[in-house]
Amino acid sequence: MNKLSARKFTVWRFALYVVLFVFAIYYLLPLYVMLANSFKPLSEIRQGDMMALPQVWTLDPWRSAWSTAQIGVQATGLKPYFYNSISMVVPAVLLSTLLGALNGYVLTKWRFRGDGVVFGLILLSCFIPFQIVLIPMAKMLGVLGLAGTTTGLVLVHLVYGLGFTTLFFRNYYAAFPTELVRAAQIDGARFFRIFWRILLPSSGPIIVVTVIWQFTNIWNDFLFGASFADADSVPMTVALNNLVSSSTGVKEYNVHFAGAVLAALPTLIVYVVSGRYFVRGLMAGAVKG
Amino acid sequence: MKDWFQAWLPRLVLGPGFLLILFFVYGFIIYTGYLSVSDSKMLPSYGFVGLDNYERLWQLRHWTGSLKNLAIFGALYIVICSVLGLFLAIMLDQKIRAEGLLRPIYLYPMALSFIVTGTAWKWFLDPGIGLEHTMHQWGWESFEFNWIKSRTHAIYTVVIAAVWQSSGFVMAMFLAGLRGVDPDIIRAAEIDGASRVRIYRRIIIPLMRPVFLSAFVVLAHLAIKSYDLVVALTGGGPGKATELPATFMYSYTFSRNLMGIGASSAIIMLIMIFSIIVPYLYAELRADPRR
Amino acid sequence: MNTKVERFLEIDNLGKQYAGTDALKSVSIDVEKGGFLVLIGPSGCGKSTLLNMIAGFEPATTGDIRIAGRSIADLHPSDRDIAMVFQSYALYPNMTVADNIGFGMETRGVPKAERIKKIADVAEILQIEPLLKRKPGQLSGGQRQRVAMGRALVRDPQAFLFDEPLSNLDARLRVDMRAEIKKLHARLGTTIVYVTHDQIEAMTLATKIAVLKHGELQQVGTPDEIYNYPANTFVADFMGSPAMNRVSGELVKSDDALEFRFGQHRLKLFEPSEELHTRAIDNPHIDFGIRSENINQPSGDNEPGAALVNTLSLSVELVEPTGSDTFIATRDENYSFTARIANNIPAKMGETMALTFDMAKAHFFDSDTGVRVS
Repeated sequence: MNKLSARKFTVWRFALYVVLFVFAIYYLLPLYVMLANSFKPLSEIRQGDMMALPQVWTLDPWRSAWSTAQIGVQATGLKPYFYNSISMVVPAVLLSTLLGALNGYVLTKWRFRGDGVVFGLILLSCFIPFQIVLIPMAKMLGVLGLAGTTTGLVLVHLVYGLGFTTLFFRNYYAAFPTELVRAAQIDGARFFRIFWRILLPSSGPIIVVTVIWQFTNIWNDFLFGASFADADSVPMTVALNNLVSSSTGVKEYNVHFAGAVLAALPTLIVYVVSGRYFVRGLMAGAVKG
Repeated sequence: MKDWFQAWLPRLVLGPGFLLILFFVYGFIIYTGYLSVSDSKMLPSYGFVGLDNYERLWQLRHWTGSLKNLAIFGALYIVICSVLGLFLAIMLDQKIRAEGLLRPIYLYPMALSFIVTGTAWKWFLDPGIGLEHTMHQWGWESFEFNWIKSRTHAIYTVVIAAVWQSSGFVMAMFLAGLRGVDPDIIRAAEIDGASRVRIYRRIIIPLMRPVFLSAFVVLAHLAIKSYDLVVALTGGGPGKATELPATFMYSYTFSRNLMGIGASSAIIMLIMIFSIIVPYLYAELRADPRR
Repeated sequence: MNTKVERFLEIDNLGKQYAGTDALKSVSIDVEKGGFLVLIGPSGCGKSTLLNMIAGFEPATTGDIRIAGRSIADLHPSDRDIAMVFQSYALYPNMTVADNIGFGMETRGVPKAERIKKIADVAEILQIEPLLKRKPGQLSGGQRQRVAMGRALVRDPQAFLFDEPLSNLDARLRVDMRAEIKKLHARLGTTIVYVTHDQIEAMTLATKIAVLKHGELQQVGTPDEIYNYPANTFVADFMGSPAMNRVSGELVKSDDALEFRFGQHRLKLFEPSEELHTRAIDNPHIDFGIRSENINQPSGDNEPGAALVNTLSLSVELVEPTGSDTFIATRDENYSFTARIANNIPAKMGETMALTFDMAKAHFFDSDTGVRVS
């Protein structure tokens, strides 16, 4: 390599890094702005520029967002809604993951006539626009006596998450050697023992992927929460939207930002801790189906 | 008896989940389909009115406007996300040292709720307090960026926020695709004397066809379903400038109490999504050697 | 009586249909107690289907399977008193070697002390004691193979089933494990059904070989019968490497003897049967086959047994030394042969070479049906 092309090469590398870091700033900027301004008093936001770090650091917006801000008619802060979301997400994630695992197990290792059609219908259910089920679901929750309850929301998220959890486990178990199932059959193990002793112990990665996927989706859901929740089952996303868009009084931007970060925190933590599995879930949901 | 039980056990285990989906998805689709040809207003009602709701739907400026918005939003969202995603993936694929740091930064918005994204961008784009205000503070008095308040340009702010949220994900899809290219093919092209640019243009990017297809399907279906982001960012406004079919359906069904029309708009949304998804899934399942 | 002993494992008119096509067409094979049956054929011939039916993974459409006179066709795999070694070994990845071997006993509720003892016994036989605490992921291919055999062995079953157990090993290890399986069989005396596509494995291990093609049984017999008296051209070609030489020609009576003529060449038959004599008159068109090791370089002296040795002069197209032997491929007119000669015979590509055909080892097949004529 001669001198000229060596220099061209480093210039090109330098430009590459500049471009990449500019984009990193683009993606980070909104988060930075939210965080920085959530620590400012309101007066400072009004006058100052949004890029600056706080001149006076304050935790008041966070306290207010968590426990005293006016949401709807009550000044409870986001705290009760955070717990609403937790008590909705945990059972919905666990149930849909367990059922999805069993479905995937049956669809790959206990094939039967017509299983392709069954899987096709389950897979297609992942992609429906949820507007199509809003009206009958509202009616059905009323019939079941679950209207406005957290249990009702758990049911909704279970049903409409099942397609994805089944897809994840089905694709994972399809690559799981059928000879192992046969060996276990010769060893005398039957349906459930094969599942518990042979498949499930090897399912760690896909369980993590599925749990993260379901957790993120259900935590971030807005449509179902807005449609089916009552005062004491409203999830975090809906509460945040109520906080931000309430038209009464002064707009407390710093409180809004603290609230938004609070609503984003659980999924962000999951992402930071196990981003690899999060990406795998996204890929599994996209590339295969 | 025991053998019979063992033989049917798998189907018994699959049964409940499958029946839930049959009932809550396909049963509900049929039910909504019926409501769309009924005289339902505030509550479901079963008087058959034929295609009246559909005819009224297509005469509503509100609906045709939301379809037009979806066309603008969907096209820009898909194209920009794909181009930006591919661009970033190729950049990141140049043996970048900081890749482990940059990749998660590009991708993290995907983990956020659209409500959070909407809240952040709503403020960021607000001329009175966000970017424009800040530029003025910094001394650039003539800077103007008030699209979010503009009837003609507000829809583009939805594109900006949505691209911010999803482009990192498309980048990850392309990056996985690039990493899957057989390195021997690239070596062969290098021996043939092809330049880096030519290798990408003639060999690698054409190999990304399946990724383009997957990205298109995922993004198109996200675009049609878009609801939360609009609610949080613009609330459909100013006026009806950022209404999309999803927000239209919600407001006609639950605020305006015209459930028949709301149901017919939901059916149209379903048809749009299925006409993209069904051929794709069909091709994927047929090509899947496991079946 | 005697027949009962001979027929230990009976495969009786077993058939299998998938979506209207026959995966297996009414196959019947018997194996004696302690026998070693090898199922062989090209991929898709139905050998694995047949093994899976014996194991109980695929139900039969027609026919029956019996072990020691008892029908097992309707039993669950674990109730058939069989053990199986899989191609991928199918070791449970989450369990230690000891747990892998003991899992069957665990499901049957065998007390722990007895389990430990049996695992130890089997580990000793297979010399895998140091591996018992490891997970399958930490083992080499050969070690996994042993563990898979240990899992089968510990059941002490009526029959072992092997599904291409050596195909994932490298060439060297495959030869070692082959010998070990043979020794193990001699020591335990348990009946074995073994699927392979490797004809050397079949020849070295089997007491009985069944050759399958397209779900149809082509021939069942001892390795000697299969190799020396192949029932048709498919078996003749499939067993033996390189494949048997075959040319089409005519049987012609000359004086008292019979000659096989093709192109310019004539070969005199050695002690031809009545059938061949009749054939020469009725329908002289026939295929002649001879294995490469029965075409040699001339010995030089005009032996008295010249009647069974015919010499042809053929042009050499290719010389392939393999070290121990040299393969000579000849071609003239439209006829090609492969001969196997000693490695010290000089041969050059493009030259003409005299080669003798050992007609005592000649095979004849019907030109249309491919069925053996003897």
